[in-house]
Amino acid sequence: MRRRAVSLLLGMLLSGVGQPLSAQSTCSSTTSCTVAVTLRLPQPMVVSLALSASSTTIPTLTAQVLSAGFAEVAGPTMVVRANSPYRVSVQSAASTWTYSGSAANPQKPASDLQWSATASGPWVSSATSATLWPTNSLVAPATSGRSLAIFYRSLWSWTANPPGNYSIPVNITLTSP
Amino acid sequence: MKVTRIIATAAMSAVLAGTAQAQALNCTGTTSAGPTNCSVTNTVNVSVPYVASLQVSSATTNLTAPTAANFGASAGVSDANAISLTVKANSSYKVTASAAAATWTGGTNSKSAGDLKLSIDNFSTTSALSTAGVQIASGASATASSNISIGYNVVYNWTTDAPGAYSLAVNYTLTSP
Repeated sequence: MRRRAVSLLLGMLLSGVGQPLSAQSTCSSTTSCTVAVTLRLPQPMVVSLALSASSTTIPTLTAQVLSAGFAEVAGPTMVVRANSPYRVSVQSAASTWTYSGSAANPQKPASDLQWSATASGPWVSSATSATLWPTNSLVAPATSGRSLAIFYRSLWSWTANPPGNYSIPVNITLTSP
Repeated sequence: MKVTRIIATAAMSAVLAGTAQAQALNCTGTTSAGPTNCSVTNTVNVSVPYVASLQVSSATTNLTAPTAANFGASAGVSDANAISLTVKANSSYKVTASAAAATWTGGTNSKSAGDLKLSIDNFSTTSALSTAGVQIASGASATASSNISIGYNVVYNWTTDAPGAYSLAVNYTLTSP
């Protein structure tokens, strides 16, 4: 079975199926004959981004958090693979958090969610797109597996955030080059 | 047989669920020309419960000692701004005060808790204390910091208030919503 598959693949290559070949050449000789064949292999830009979790849960808020004004939590980790220079950017997918609760929707803005590549900041608003990696906002070189992390800081206040459940999606985008 | 079918169905559901999750956590991008990108989404969730905080300025309040003129006088002895409460709440709230016991300790242990009156408006109005509790303040909306200044007024009786040191525990309760 395996031998048959190999034979079929060789046959396709020799017959020009699946791969573009240079203009056909011919040769003839009574003893030996050589024909040069150029194989062209498409090399597309390929990128891959794997996230460790599709959601991040901020621990239930306490009086201490509301008085401090913020809560910090570790987000997912991710692994980037790219065969050309790349960057990873972050932006909220909505301008406001979704809210479900008994109060009127407070329209909590996306800017109340900040992110950072490290647990200690600096913190960047998620309302607009910004580069997570590389930190110089240029591009990082090709990688066979670059691990990255993201941390979230959410902003809270006693008066602007009534009881309820809040949620906001964050898009993490890998762009190459 | 029936059991087997159920297990098989459950296993298939688990596989399908796993496939869906994997798709949500990973992305790939491929292009032969021009930039490529791919995005994954991480949703940030949080539950905000009813949160309230009550801070009292002092755990113990020493009241003004009465004189002979105060005994039998309905005006009693007032201590304005004897204590203050600070309320924080992310929803509506109310504050009640109640006596921890029906009578003061000290003397003949028969001085009624109702001999202590509370006022939050500099004695324009007063509320006699009881073990059942009395509402002294409320807020229709959330507050980042509301200060409640409480004055105490005590009436004294010749026959029930024997010489001695008296004390009465007052419980302040914050309820939200």
